[in-house]
Amino acid sequence: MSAVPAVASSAVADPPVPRILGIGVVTGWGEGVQGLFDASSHAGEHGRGLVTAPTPVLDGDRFRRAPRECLFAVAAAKAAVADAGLGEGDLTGPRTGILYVSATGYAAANRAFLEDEKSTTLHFPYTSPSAVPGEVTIELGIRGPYVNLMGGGPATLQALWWAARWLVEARADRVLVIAVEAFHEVWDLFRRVRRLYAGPLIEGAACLLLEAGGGGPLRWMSVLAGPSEAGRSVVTVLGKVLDGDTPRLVFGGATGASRATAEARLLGERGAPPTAPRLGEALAMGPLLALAQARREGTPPPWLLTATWRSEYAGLLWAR
Amino acid sequence: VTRPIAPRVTPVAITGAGVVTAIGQDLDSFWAGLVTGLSGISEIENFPVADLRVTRGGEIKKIRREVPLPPSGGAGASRRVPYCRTTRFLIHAAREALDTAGLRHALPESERIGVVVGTALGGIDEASRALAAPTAGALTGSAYDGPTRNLARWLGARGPVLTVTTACASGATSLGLAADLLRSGHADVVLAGGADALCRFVQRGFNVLRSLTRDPVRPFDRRRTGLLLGEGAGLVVLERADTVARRGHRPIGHLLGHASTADGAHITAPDPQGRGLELAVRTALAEAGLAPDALDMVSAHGTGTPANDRVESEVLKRVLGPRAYAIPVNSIKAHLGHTMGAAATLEAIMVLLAGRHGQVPPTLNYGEADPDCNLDYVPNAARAWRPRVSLSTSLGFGGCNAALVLGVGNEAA
Repeated sequence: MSAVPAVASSAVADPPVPRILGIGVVTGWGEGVQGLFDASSHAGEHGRGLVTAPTPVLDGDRFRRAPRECLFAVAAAKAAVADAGLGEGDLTGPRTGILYVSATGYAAANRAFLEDEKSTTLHFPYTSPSAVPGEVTIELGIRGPYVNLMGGGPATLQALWWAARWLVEARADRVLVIAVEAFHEVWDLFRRVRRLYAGPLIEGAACLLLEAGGGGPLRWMSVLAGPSEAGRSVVTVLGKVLDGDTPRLVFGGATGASRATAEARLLGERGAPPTAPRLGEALAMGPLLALAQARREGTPPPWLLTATWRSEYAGLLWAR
Repeated sequence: VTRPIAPRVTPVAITGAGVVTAIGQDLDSFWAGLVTGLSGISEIENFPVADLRVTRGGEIKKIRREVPLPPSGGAGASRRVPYCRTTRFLIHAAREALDTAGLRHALPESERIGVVVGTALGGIDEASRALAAPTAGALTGSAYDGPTRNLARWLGARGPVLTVTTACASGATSLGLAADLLRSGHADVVLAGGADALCRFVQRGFNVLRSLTRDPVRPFDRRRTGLLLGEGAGLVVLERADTVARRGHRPIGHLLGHASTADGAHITAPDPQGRGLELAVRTALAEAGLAPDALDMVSAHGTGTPANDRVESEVLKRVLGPRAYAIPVNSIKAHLGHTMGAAATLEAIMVLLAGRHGQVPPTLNYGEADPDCNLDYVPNAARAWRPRVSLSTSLGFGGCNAALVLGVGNEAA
């Protein structure tokens, strides 16, 4: 095997927007992407702090001991492949890349191992965040570019930008971007850090299967800023990613009063539509769920996605 | 250095470096320890290990107590949430990296500074405490991205901040992503590398996996029986070559090529055929526009486990051909222990220092040749040799592989 990607000779600053081949979603809202729309009609009705996702049932002896976060990831990846009209074997080999993102995907396994001194060799490997995408690569036989990022929505925007970069540089023919969050086993802990998120926590997985698309530039920027500079960071980020464009859909992820106010004011001045209603806090899954909604609604790009995690604010414009 | 094919990416300058390890907490002592064959392996004292099968590791016995003052625009730890061990490693390494880059008082505006940290454990060394007393500060501090954010805050960086976790290949992947940020114009300076702290969580974990050895760590030796863990941090300052030239700073070296790839084979063991690692090495060389003959040295992952060292040697022979037998291939895991997220960055720094000093650090505890591992592993004593271009390879849980191609000084840029 000597399949070296035919990487383009010069890098571009902002890669073109890729094409979404398939989307897979596993959440507690209901079946796949449609579940998100069913959820929209109920947004605000429920008083739940956590929307638990059902544990996927997967064939294969290997999955008997895999934790929920791994099962979420594999199920979402399989759904994305099926949505693309491909067979699972179509992703096998070195020409498929994978980017995995999570803020919490390791927490349940880590906690279990920390609290149970009798835990065994069957448990420890799953404390590594890379075990989650590792299961996906094994299931689909993926051997191409591979990066895992830890963080909330801003990390997912980074991952989307890198996926587009890999595609335009021909490092891969297709790229899976997978985000996973699992809260059920650590819900008592997350209740203590409510300042980090808004709305009920949504767990599960979302996966996009992308290929080179040749669209407009995928503009991304993130800024780390404390509370006193939060509003200014929004102006900086949106100024760069919008660059004169007006989005047709906005999935706003600003949290905190000053960020949210600055985001709404700036977008209002640009004549952008109001931000889509939030279904809850899906952390790293948030941007992928937003893209799933945007694609299903049929509104053409540009779509603006913003996200906040801790003191970081990021934006990404999915251009025409 | 001649390039038979056009490089696919622009080289990125490495203008500074900083280390914190069990054999030295600055570049000079680190280098002195490497070439003199100093081992940082000892009985672990920082946490209880009496009930564990293996009780040794590359533990840092005393981390400098004072946390360096942040650069202008940065901020220190709050009294309420003191820095964790991993963060302290990072900050000490960052201080040295900024000094050697000549940037401590000359950093660009904060939004042009990026931070990319690779880690296998994140803030897990704080997790036991956080679970016992779960305050918001303790819980966020024990998150995987806790140490990265602490470093960014100390530095005053407001640009892209990434926490990379490709397990024990993280410290290589982080350098590759940092280079992408620079090439795309998302940052002008990126502090990148890796860090992890030894703690009961990971020592117990590798114990139950039976990956740890009671014997000396013997990379590539026929008698090798496993690895020992270590801890520390390695950070480098990366900049675009034109930026460095403008400010008249001489780089330590250049990152010429990088690739991180998946095995798709097993969660904890390398692919027996090493297909993912092979692709990583081939792609990193192709990025650099170099043929195997351009390589002067390989810094191998060389953990001392039977599977890793065999697979790695096979891949090097397959990809580099006759060149694999003609150049030194070393492992510094017996000096430091396996420092997990820090390992690949420390090894990258090691090869740059080897080029600067004209010596290759040895692979310690090597005594009996393994027919499957029949390369020149620089056994037990440093060798006079000045590598201009080096390859560094890494592997990790989850089927992660990474390869870096590094050039010393300006020679290969």
